[in-house]
Amino acid sequence: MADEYLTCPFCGFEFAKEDTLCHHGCPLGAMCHLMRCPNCQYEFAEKPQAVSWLGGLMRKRRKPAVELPEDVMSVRELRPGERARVLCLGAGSTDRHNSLAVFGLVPGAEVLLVQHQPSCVIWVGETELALDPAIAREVLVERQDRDSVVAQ
Amino acid sequence: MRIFRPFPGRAEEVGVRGVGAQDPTPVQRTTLLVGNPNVGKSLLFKNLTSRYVTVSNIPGTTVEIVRAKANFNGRQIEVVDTPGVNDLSPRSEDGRVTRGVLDQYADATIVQVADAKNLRRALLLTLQLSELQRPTVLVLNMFDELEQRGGKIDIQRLSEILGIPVVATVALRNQGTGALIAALQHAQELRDLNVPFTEARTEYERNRRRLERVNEILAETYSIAQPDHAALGVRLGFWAMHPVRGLAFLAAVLFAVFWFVGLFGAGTLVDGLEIGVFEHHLNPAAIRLVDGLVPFPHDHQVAGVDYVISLPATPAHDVELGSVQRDVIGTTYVMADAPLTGWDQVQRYVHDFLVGDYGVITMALSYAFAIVLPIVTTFFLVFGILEDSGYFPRMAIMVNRLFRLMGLNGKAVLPMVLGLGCDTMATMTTRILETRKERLVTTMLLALAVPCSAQLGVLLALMATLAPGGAVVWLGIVIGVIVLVGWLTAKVVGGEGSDFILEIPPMRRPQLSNVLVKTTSRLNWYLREVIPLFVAGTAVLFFLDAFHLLETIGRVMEPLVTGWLGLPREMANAFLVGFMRRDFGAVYILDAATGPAAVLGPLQILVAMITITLFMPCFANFLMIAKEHGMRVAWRMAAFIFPFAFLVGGIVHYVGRWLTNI
Repeated sequence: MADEYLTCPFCGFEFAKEDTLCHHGCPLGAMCHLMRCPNCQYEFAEKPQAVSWLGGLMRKRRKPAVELPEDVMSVRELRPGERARVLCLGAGSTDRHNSLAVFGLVPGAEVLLVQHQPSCVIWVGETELALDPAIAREVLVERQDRDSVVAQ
Repeated sequence: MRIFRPFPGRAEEVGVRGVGAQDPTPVQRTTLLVGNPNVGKSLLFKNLTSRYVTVSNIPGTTVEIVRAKANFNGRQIEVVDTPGVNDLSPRSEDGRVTRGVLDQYADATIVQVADAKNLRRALLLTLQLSELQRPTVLVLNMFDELEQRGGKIDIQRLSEILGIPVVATVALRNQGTGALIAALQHAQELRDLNVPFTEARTEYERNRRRLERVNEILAETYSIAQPDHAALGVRLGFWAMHPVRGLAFLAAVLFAVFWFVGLFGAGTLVDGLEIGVFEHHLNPAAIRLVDGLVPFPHDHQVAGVDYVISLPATPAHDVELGSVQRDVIGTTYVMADAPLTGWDQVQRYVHDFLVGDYGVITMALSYAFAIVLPIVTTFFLVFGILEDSGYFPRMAIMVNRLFRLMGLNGKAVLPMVLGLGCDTMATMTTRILETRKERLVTTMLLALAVPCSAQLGVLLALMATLAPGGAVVWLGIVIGVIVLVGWLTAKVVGGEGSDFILEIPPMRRPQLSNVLVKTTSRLNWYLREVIPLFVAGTAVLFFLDAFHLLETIGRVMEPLVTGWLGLPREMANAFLVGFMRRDFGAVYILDAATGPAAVLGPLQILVAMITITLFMPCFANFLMIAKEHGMRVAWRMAAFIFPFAFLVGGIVHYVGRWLTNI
């Protein structure tokens, strides 16, 4: 991907990931995760990897790769009883998008979150739908007013 | 009623066209019921044709195409029910079967059945149907539920926009069926609804365009007051999937099922039928009758048999209501002193075949009617109630995470729970699962470790002979095996799982009549299936016994049964018949554990129970696997299951012995 840019931590040179010097022919190949700056030849890891699984456990949630506007969030971040409008169905195949669409879950639809555990449950129009948490995480919504309606 | 698989490809199956020379008028056309899942197509089908198909509150129950003749306006019409679909668009996997039926009946009138409460999704389907340009009628079913929720649909306006007749019905109470039959005559092609398909390349994009058009139609015809969520059904439905209350709910449901099926069905009812009816009355009468028909010199022994009528209170305590003692004759007899002539010998075989130890009446029929029948009846009754209440999809929510370990998702809980009724039937419903991997894993688990109601009842009776710990160990091992083998099968099969996107139907009060009809139709199916197999199994046993082959087989299996499992040699018989039906084998074990000549100790009972639980359910199940996945898969599963059952049984035996010796 040409649009991924890295900054050398040693000399501050900015370069496209493609242009890293040892891209071709190195016997380490896919096993090597190091980048080499084309300016100063300094080798560095692309991103600091979470070596300790404990660290992975301690960290609560991975930050979304893209900074989202303030009101935009995934269905997973809604609270029970909150209403929201669907903005996009996120990553995933168009097959998945279509199987959500046939239940009326398309951008523009209004959803009401019922619960997160043990599976995510939402109302879409008059359909009550259970979703795998992994799917719910992909669906981006914009929160509507906050009056809680569900019988608790 | 004829049930056939989709795409039989036979010309004479197609419609009623060509019966006479005249042009088919609309009323003569075949009528196809099409619609979203769980909108009441099957119930409407029943109202139109007075034929019964299984109706349940689970989306996706109709997995076979069902059709029947009906009499509309004095003419015979064929009505065809199709599985529910959410998406009919050409490339979706979802609507494949229904689209096949639509192609097959190219000149049929389409009756689209819609849930009036959920017009949006129905109209998405209507827009897809409009592209087929067929005479169509739209039925707005469950209209009463819409009105209860304060919803209104302008039927007149909707009919104008779509250009077809629109009828409101309440299929549950058979309201509006007449109006629908009348409307069939006026079925029209849907008007072109001008969906802007520009630049819509994928199905998803096309469906989005359709939904935009649907919203415009809804704005003109549909209104609903703010939903009032205070109803008890909604509350219960909410609790049933709550992370904590849901588990309590699940435990309560399981205990209720256990009490009704395991204690009341397998206890009170089985005692009543087995002792009160068969041993006290039917068996002696049959023995006397056969003695009269094929006399040879012998005397049946008379013994006193106690029948205690009791109701279960807890697993260990019964409330005794009364008891009857009778002196009756049984299957054992002593020969008279005179030697038997050749003819006597023949008569003795016939006698033993009918009422001997392995007799058709005294063993096969009394097992089938006195032990299996009450257990499956009680099970199908509770199952029907739970099914109609809409609880199962909520159960799927509860178990989704556990099932993910096995490459499945929560949807697979429906076939698995149905497997507790009958594994063969459940293997057929694995078709509702989306990918081959999911279907194979579920089929495997059903065949290996989900006990069917007949066997479960017998196993519960066996558990009652063990300390409560025994039941826990059994349950733990079976669940462990399910998770382990499920995980392994998923790894071996490979391939994709599917997304867990499941519609949750509203909780409804089950209709007693529907539950009863459903129970009877399932029992009917079950008995027709089980009795010939029981008779055949007993006949095989009888001949093996008559030619002393039973002993030989016992000797061959001895190292396995006595050495590896640590059971007495006679138990080889149990496993032998277990190959045919594992519940039959389990009954055999029950007999050896609690019968008049009990030979098994607690550890032996546990080992035998676990081994027989892990057997393949029955020969019919094997055939069903072969039908669904091919012979190769069926043989491979059998080749894994039987050795694996003995392997686990042996491990339990040795670990158990080691533990008790500490």
